[in-house]
Amino acid sequence: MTWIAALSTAAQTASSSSYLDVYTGIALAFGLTVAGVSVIWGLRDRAPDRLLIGATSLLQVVLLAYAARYLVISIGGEGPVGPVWELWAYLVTIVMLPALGLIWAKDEPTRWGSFVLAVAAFVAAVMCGRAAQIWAGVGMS
Amino acid sequence: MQARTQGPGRVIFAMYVVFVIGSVSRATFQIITEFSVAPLAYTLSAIAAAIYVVATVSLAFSGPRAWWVSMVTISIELAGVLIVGTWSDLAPQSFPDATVWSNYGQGYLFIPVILPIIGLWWLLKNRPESTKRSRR
Repeated sequence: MTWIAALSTAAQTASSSSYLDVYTGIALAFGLTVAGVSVIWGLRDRAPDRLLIGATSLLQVVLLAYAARYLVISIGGEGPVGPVWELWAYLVTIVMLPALGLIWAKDEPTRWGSFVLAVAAFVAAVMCGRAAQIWAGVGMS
Repeated sequence: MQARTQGPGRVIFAMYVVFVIGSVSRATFQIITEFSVAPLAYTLSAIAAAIYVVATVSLAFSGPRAWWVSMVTISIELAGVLIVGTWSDLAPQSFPDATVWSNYGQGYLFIPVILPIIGLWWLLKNRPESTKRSRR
Protein backbone atom coordinates (compact mmCIF):
# COMPACT_ATOMS: atom_id res chain seq x y z
CA MET A 1 0.00 0.00 0.00
CA THR A 2 2.78 2.37 -0.90
CA TRP A 3 0.33 4.67 -2.60
CA ILE A 4 -1.30 5.50 0.72
CA ALA A 5 2.08 6.50 2.07
CA ALA A 6 2.74 8.46 -1.12
CA LEU A 7 -0.60 10.19 -0.80
CA SER A 8 0.07 11.28 2.77
CA THR A 9 3.56 12.46 1.77
CA ALA A 10 1.96 14.46 -1.03
CA ALA A 11 -0.50 15.94 1.44
CA GLN A 12 2.35 16.94 3.75
CA THR A 13 4.30 18.43 0.85
CA ALA A 14 1.24 20.40 -0.17
CA SER A 15 0.78 21.75 3.33
CA SER A 16 4.38 23.03 3.49
CA SER A 17 3.72 25.73 0.95
CA SER A 18 6.86 27.78 1.52
CA TYR A 19 7.70 27.59 -2.19
CA LEU A 20 4.57 29.58 -3.02
CA ASP A 21 5.71 33.12 -3.67
CA VAL A 22 3.23 35.90 -4.37
CA TYR A 23 3.68 35.63 -8.17
CA THR A 24 2.89 31.93 -8.16
CA GLY A 25 -0.03 32.58 -5.84
CA ILE A 26 -1.50 35.11 -8.27
CA ALA A 27 -0.98 32.85 -11.31
CA LEU A 28 -2.39 29.84 -9.46
CA ALA A 29 -5.44 31.70 -8.11
CA PHE A 30 -6.21 33.37 -11.43
CA GLY A 31 -5.77 30.15 -13.41
CA LEU A 32 -8.01 28.20 -11.05
CA THR A 33 -10.61 30.98 -11.15
CA VAL A 34 -10.70 30.96 -14.96
CA ALA A 35 -10.90 27.15 -14.89
CA GLY A 36 -13.77 27.29 -12.41
CA VAL A 37 -15.71 29.87 -14.43
CA SER A 38 -15.14 27.81 -17.61
CA VAL A 39 -16.48 24.68 -15.91
CA ILE A 40 -19.59 26.59 -14.81
CA TRP A 41 -20.03 27.81 -18.40
CA GLY A 42 -19.72 24.25 -19.70
CA LEU A 43 -22.09 22.81 -17.12
CA ARG A 44 -24.63 25.49 -17.99
CA ASP A 45 -24.33 24.56 -21.67
CA ARG A 46 -22.75 27.89 -22.59
CA ALA A 47 -20.22 28.27 -25.38
CA PRO A 48 -17.15 30.45 -24.78
CA ASP A 49 -18.37 34.05 -24.96
CA ARG A 50 -16.56 37.38 -24.81
CA LEU A 51 -16.24 37.18 -21.03
CA LEU A 52 -14.65 33.72 -21.08
CA ILE A 53 -12.38 34.53 -24.02
CA GLY A 54 -11.42 37.79 -22.32
CA ALA A 55 -10.62 36.03 -19.06
CA THR A 56 -8.52 33.41 -20.85
CA SER A 57 -6.69 36.14 -22.78
CA LEU A 58 -5.97 37.93 -19.51
CA LEU A 59 -4.69 34.64 -18.09
CA GLN A 60 -2.38 34.39 -21.11
CA VAL A 61 -0.93 37.82 -20.24
CA VAL A 62 -0.51 36.87 -16.57
CA LEU A 63 1.28 33.64 -17.53
CA LEU A 64 3.57 35.42 -20.00
CA ALA A 65 4.53 37.81 -17.20
CA TYR A 66 5.02 34.84 -14.87
CA ALA A 67 7.41 33.11 -17.28
CA ALA A 68 9.13 36.40 -18.14
CA ARG A 69 9.92 36.94 -14.47
CA TYR A 70 11.77 33.61 -14.32
CA LEU A 71 13.60 34.56 -17.50
CA VAL A 72 14.70 37.89 -16.00
CA ILE A 73 15.90 36.43 -12.70
CA SER A 74 17.63 33.60 -14.59
CA ILE A 75 19.50 36.14 -16.73
CA GLY A 76 20.31 37.92 -13.48
CA GLY A 77 22.28 34.82 -12.47
CA GLU A 78 19.84 32.96 -10.22
CA GLY A 79 18.83 29.41 -10.95
CA PRO A 80 16.36 26.75 -9.89
CA VAL A 81 17.23 24.18 -7.23
CA GLY A 82 15.58 21.55 -9.42
CA PRO A 83 16.49 20.72 -13.03
CA VAL A 84 16.73 23.74 -15.35
CA TRP A 85 15.30 21.83 -18.34
CA GLU A 86 12.25 20.80 -16.33
CA LEU A 87 11.53 24.36 -15.21
CA TRP A 88 11.63 25.62 -18.80
CA ALA A 89 9.65 22.69 -20.14
CA TYR A 90 6.91 23.72 -17.72
CA LEU A 91 7.16 27.45 -18.42
CA VAL A 92 7.11 27.04 -22.21
CA THR A 93 4.08 24.75 -21.93
CA ILE A 94 2.37 27.19 -19.54
CA VAL A 95 2.54 30.10 -21.96
CA MET A 96 1.28 27.96 -24.85
CA LEU A 97 -1.77 26.53 -23.04
CA PRO A 98 -4.27 29.45 -23.08
CA ALA A 99 -3.42 30.25 -26.72
CA LEU A 100 -3.88 26.61 -27.77
CA GLY A 101 -7.12 26.46 -25.77
CA LEU A 102 -8.45 29.62 -27.45
CA ILE A 103 -7.61 28.33 -30.94
CA TRP A 104 -9.19 25.00 -30.14
CA ALA A 105 -12.28 26.55 -28.52
CA LYS A 106 -12.83 28.90 -31.48
CA ASP A 107 -13.57 25.85 -33.65
CA GLU A 108 -16.00 24.50 -31.07
CA PRO A 109 -18.68 27.09 -30.25
CA THR A 110 -20.46 24.73 -27.86
CA ARG A 111 -20.23 23.84 -24.17
CA TRP A 112 -17.25 21.63 -25.04
CA GLY A 113 -15.27 24.69 -26.09
CA SER A 114 -15.78 26.00 -22.55
CA PHE A 115 -14.56 22.69 -21.10
CA VAL A 116 -11.44 22.88 -23.29
CA LEU A 117 -10.71 26.32 -21.81
CA ALA A 118 -11.25 24.85 -18.34
CA VAL A 119 -8.65 22.13 -19.01
CA ALA A 120 -6.15 24.66 -20.40
CA ALA A 121 -6.53 27.04 -17.44
CA PHE A 122 -6.44 24.27 -14.82
CA VAL A 123 -3.36 22.58 -16.27
CA ALA A 124 -1.59 25.94 -16.61
CA ALA A 125 -2.39 26.79 -12.97
CA VAL A 126 -1.12 23.45 -11.66
CA MET A 127 2.00 23.76 -13.80
CA CYS A 128 2.73 27.21 -12.29
CA GLY A 129 2.68 25.58 -8.87
CA ARG A 130 4.99 22.84 -10.13
CA ALA A 131 7.38 25.38 -11.70
CA ALA A 132 7.64 27.16 -8.35
CA GLN A 133 8.36 23.81 -6.65
CA ILE A 134 11.16 23.11 -9.12
CA TRP A 135 12.59 26.58 -8.53
CA ALA A 136 12.53 26.05 -4.75
CA GLY A 137 13.58 22.40 -4.94
CA VAL A 138 10.46 21.05 -3.25
CA GLY A 139 9.88 17.35 -3.78
CA MET A 140 13.33 16.78 -5.28
CA SER A 141 15.05 13.53 -4.41
CA MET B 1 -19.16 10.66 -39.96
CA GLN B 2 -18.02 13.55 -37.83
CA ALA B 3 -14.40 13.65 -36.76
CA ARG B 4 -13.70 12.17 -33.37
CA THR B 5 -12.33 15.49 -32.20
CA GLN B 6 -15.71 17.23 -32.15
CA GLY B 7 -17.79 17.95 -29.08
CA PRO B 8 -16.59 16.03 -26.01
CA GLY B 9 -13.83 14.59 -28.20
CA ARG B 10 -12.22 18.01 -28.22
CA VAL B 11 -11.75 17.93 -24.45
CA ILE B 12 -10.36 14.39 -24.58
CA PHE B 13 -8.03 15.39 -27.41
CA ALA B 14 -6.88 18.46 -25.44
CA MET B 15 -6.01 16.22 -22.48
CA TYR B 16 -4.03 13.95 -24.77
CA VAL B 17 -2.11 16.93 -26.19
CA VAL B 18 -1.12 17.91 -22.64
CA PHE B 19 0.10 14.38 -21.97
CA VAL B 20 2.06 14.28 -25.23
CA ILE B 21 3.85 17.53 -24.37
CA GLY B 22 4.56 16.38 -20.82
CA SER B 23 5.58 12.80 -21.52
CA VAL B 24 7.68 13.46 -24.62
CA SER B 25 9.67 16.31 -23.08
CA ARG B 26 10.16 14.39 -19.82
CA ALA B 27 11.23 11.13 -21.49
CA THR B 28 13.59 12.93 -23.87
CA PHE B 29 15.43 14.80 -21.15
CA GLN B 30 15.48 11.92 -18.69
CA ILE B 31 17.06 9.64 -21.27
CA ILE B 32 19.56 12.23 -22.46
CA THR B 33 20.66 13.43 -19.03
CA GLU B 34 20.25 10.65 -16.48
CA PHE B 35 19.36 7.37 -18.16
CA SER B 36 21.67 5.31 -15.92
CA VAL B 37 19.86 6.43 -12.74
CA ALA B 38 16.67 4.54 -13.51
CA PRO B 39 16.86 2.72 -16.85
CA LEU B 40 13.63 0.78 -16.34
CA ALA B 41 11.58 3.79 -15.33
CA TYR B 42 12.94 5.92 -18.16
CA THR B 43 12.46 3.21 -20.77
CA LEU B 44 8.85 2.90 -19.63
CA SER B 45 8.53 6.69 -19.79
CA ALA B 46 9.70 6.61 -23.40
CA ILE B 47 7.27 3.81 -24.30
CA ALA B 48 4.44 5.70 -22.60
CA ALA B 49 5.37 8.86 -24.52
CA ALA B 50 5.37 6.98 -27.84
CA ILE B 51 1.94 5.51 -27.09
CA TYR B 52 0.52 8.93 -26.20
CA VAL B 53 1.86 10.36 -29.47
CA VAL B 54 0.34 7.60 -31.64
CA ALA B 55 -2.97 7.70 -29.75
CA THR B 56 -3.22 11.49 -30.06
CA VAL B 57 -2.31 11.61 -33.74
CA SER B 58 -4.75 8.81 -34.59
CA LEU B 59 -7.55 10.59 -32.69
CA ALA B 60 -7.13 13.55 -35.02
CA PHE B 61 -7.83 11.41 -38.10
CA SER B 62 -11.21 10.11 -39.14
CA GLY B 63 -11.89 6.76 -40.75
CA PRO B 64 -11.90 3.15 -39.60
CA ARG B 65 -8.14 2.62 -39.77
CA ALA B 66 -7.40 5.56 -37.48
CA TRP B 67 -10.20 4.35 -35.21
CA TRP B 68 -8.50 0.98 -34.82
CA VAL B 69 -5.10 2.58 -34.20
CA SER B 70 -6.68 4.73 -31.45
CA MET B 71 -8.45 1.69 -30.03
CA VAL B 72 -5.25 -0.40 -29.85
CA THR B 73 -2.98 2.36 -28.49
CA ILE B 74 -5.47 3.52 -25.86
CA SER B 75 -6.02 -0.12 -24.79
CA ILE B 76 -2.22 -0.52 -24.44
CA GLU B 77 -2.20 2.74 -22.49
CA LEU B 78 -4.83 1.42 -20.08
CA ALA B 79 -3.04 -1.93 -19.73
CA GLY B 80 0.26 -0.07 -19.22
CA VAL B 81 -0.99 2.17 -16.45
CA LEU B 82 -2.60 -0.80 -14.68
CA ILE B 83 0.47 -3.04 -15.02
CA VAL B 84 3.06 -0.37 -14.17
CA GLY B 85 0.79 0.94 -11.42
CA THR B 86 0.61 -2.48 -9.77
CA TRP B 87 4.28 -3.23 -10.44
CA SER B 88 5.47 0.04 -8.89
CA ASP B 89 3.24 -0.65 -5.91
CA LEU B 90 4.59 -4.18 -5.35
CA ALA B 91 8.25 -3.51 -6.20
CA PRO B 92 9.02 0.16 -5.55
CA GLN B 93 12.76 -0.62 -5.49
CA SER B 94 12.60 -1.18 -9.28
CA PHE B 95 11.52 2.44 -9.67
CA PRO B 96 14.07 4.83 -8.14
CA ASP B 97 12.38 7.60 -10.12
CA ALA B 98 8.69 7.84 -10.92
CA THR B 99 7.14 7.29 -14.33
CA VAL B 100 3.90 8.89 -15.39
CA TRP B 101 2.24 5.51 -14.82
CA SER B 102 3.69 4.82 -11.34
CA ASN B 103 1.01 4.14 -8.72
CA TYR B 104 -1.71 4.46 -11.38
CA GLY B 105 -0.66 8.00 -12.20
CA GLN B 106 -1.06 9.20 -8.63
CA GLY B 107 1.46 12.01 -9.24
CA TYR B 108 -0.83 13.30 -11.99
CA LEU B 109 -4.17 13.28 -10.12
CA PHE B 110 -4.82 9.75 -11.46
CA ILE B 111 -5.58 11.29 -14.85
CA PRO B 112 -3.32 8.66 -16.56
CA VAL B 113 -5.73 5.91 -15.48
CA ILE B 114 -8.95 7.89 -16.00
CA LEU B 115 -8.07 9.29 -19.44
CA PRO B 116 -7.83 5.94 -21.33
CA ILE B 117 -11.14 4.78 -19.82
CA ILE B 118 -12.86 7.96 -21.04
CA GLY B 119 -10.99 7.60 -24.34
CA LEU B 120 -12.21 4.05 -24.91
CA TRP B 121 -15.77 5.04 -24.00
CA TRP B 122 -15.61 7.88 -26.51
CA LEU B 123 -14.23 5.62 -29.24
CA LEU B 124 -16.88 2.95 -28.71
CA LYS B 125 -19.56 5.63 -28.73
CA ASN B 126 -18.22 6.93 -32.05
CA ARG B 127 -17.49 3.63 -33.71
CA PRO B 128 -17.43 3.87 -37.52
CA GLU B 129 -20.08 1.62 -39.07
CA SER B 130 -17.53 -0.15 -41.25
CA THR B 131 -15.64 -1.51 -38.23
CA LYS B 132 -18.74 -3.27 -36.94
CA ARG B 133 -19.11 -5.74 -39.81
CA SER B 134 -17.33 -9.01 -39.23
CA ARG B 135 -14.67 -9.42 -41.87
CA ARG B 136 -14.05 -13.14 -41.70
